[in-house]
Amino acid sequence: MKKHKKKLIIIGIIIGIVLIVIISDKRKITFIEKGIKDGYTFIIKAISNNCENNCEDIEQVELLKAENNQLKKDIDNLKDLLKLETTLSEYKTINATVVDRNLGYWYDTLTIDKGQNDGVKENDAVISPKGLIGYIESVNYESSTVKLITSNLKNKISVKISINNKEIFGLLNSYKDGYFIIEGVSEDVKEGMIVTTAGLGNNYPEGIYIGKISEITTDNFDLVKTLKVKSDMNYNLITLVSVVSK
Amino acid sequence: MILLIIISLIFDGLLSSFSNIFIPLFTLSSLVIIYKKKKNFIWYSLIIGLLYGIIFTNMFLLELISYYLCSIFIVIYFDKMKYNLMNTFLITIINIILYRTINFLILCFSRIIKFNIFLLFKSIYSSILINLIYIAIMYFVFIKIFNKSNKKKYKLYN
Repeated sequence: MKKHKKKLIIIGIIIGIVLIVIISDKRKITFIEKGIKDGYTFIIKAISNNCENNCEDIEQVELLKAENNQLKKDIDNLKDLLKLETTLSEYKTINATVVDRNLGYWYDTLTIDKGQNDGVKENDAVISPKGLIGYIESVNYESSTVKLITSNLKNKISVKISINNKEIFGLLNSYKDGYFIIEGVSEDVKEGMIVTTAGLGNNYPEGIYIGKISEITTDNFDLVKTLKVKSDMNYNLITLVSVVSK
Repeated sequence: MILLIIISLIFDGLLSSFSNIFIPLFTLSSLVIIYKKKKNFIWYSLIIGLLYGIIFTNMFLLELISYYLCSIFIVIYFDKMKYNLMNTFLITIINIILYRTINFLILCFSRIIKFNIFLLFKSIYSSILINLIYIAIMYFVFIKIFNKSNKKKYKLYN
């Protein structure tokens, strides 16, 4: 009986912890948490900026060269962003800088320096010059957490592939070994075709670039295809992003 | 000790942006150094877990549980073993394994992440080296400062 009691207590504790985690995953962030996180983001931003200034003093010439190159890249990126913005004219875009990333390791998240006060809202899409990155998972006053699309997708993303005047729709299911997986496509598609968001049924606006088809596999009956889509994005090196807000 | 907590939290944030190969867990590792200030150690660890959860993961209850279990393990370990550099290294490694495994299992049971044992291994081995380096530095900085201040106090009392 005692053994059973112990087992029941242990099982109860495990179920309790799991329930607590599930609840805390879906809960809204309190203003105290927002304040603490904003304060931390402010400190990290200040340190990063300060470090940059000090480094400039020490190795000015080399850094100016590097900075020049970086600025050129940034200008290109921003030009690309502007091009992207024209296709998303009915949406407001908010440019932001990444402060830190993926600290919980499992969550595949980024922290950006724009929040509620800048007009960022929960579930807004987040893009980079090279396409879709993810969505806003939680918003603080001066910072926000971005959930990357490379993480375990809770909601499938509706996507489309444009062939001449025809559009083929599909669902982006998961991200595995550097590729996005689209399942259930029956129409003829070819490698190299561009995949964009379809804007159906979720928060992602239509026409955001995701990647190009790099591999096509068919099922045993040659009816349904599974597509592997390669993104141009390096998800480990994201510095500038844009939040697409309605 | 508060300084050590602040430094660890800041470095955790700063280094996370630079590398995906070496993943810092400095705040968790700093528990081993904080243990030296034995008084209220468990309370310290709970507050640190709470802060870590609020700042980084939005899952403060999970972090609270993980930090609590890790701190209990540290207390049990150092009750039986001597506090030296080798043992701090060993307990840091065990703590990283314990922390990652607890997080991984709870998140898998909660269906927040998919079960992938290789992801767990990767999360462990990519955190060990960088945290050992951090602990070695912090051990020499903080424990030496402790020893010096303790010696000074001892001299003053005598």
